[in-house]
Amino acid sequence: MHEFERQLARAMRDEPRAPDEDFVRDVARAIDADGRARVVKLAIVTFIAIDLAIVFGLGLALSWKSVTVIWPSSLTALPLAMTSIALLSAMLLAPFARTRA
Amino acid sequence: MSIDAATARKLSESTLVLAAQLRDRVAFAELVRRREHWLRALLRRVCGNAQQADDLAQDAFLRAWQSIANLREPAAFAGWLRRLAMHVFIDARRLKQTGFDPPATLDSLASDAPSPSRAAQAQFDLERALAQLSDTERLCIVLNLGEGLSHGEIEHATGFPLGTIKSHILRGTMKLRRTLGDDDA
Repeated sequence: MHEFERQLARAMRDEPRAPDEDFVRDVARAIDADGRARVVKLAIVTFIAIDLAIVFGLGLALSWKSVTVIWPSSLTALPLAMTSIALLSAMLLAPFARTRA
Repeated sequence: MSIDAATARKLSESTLVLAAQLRDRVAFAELVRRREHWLRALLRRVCGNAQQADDLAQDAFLRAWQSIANLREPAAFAGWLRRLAMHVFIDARRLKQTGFDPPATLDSLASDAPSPSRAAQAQFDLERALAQLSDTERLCIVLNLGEGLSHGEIEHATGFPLGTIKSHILRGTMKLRRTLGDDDA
């Protein structure tokens, strides 16, 4: 290393000093806030997931009921219901697939 | 169970890291106490602005708290934290696109200088000279000369290609020579 680089390295060296307690407190507060934000986010996601599950279940039950009204024989209705579920799932997942691509 | 602040001050850094990995807040606060000055000074040199450096340092400590469980070698905490801070800086720079505000006026630097001594003047000149460099040149120079990292270590810390790091250091050093008026330049 040349003398100039050595001088630069020396100039960049810091003198040790007492910790800045305000900064330490700020970091602790930021960690607390982040923890709270994560809990809220988790609660919202869980709430939405439960809501979606209920809506999906109700929809499924209703469509199954309407299918059985039209086709009283469940053996004939089953393939149709399965196709509907597959189509519905594909429609729900399509936006995610597009985002990833 | 959590350790108290007085006990935490007596523990080694590796022990504190292990305790922080078990989500002990007091242990992590002690790690922050021990490393804040070093990290803030490093980021101040890298981004050339005290306020932004403090924000980045806080962000780096927050990320450290979130991912400290991933640290396999507690003894490597300082290097790991430095790498994390460099990534915080690079991410913030990418978001801003235009780079960080340099310490724009000489007055703002002068107000930070504690006394008109020669050491303070040299420090002031250095800060001013560093502010002339691009963000990446400054980052590489500070890590190389200030932190004593090799080119390979800088590559590991920043993710920049080795050739880019070498050219940034070379170009940055030449600019500093010119700005600081080194006779050998």
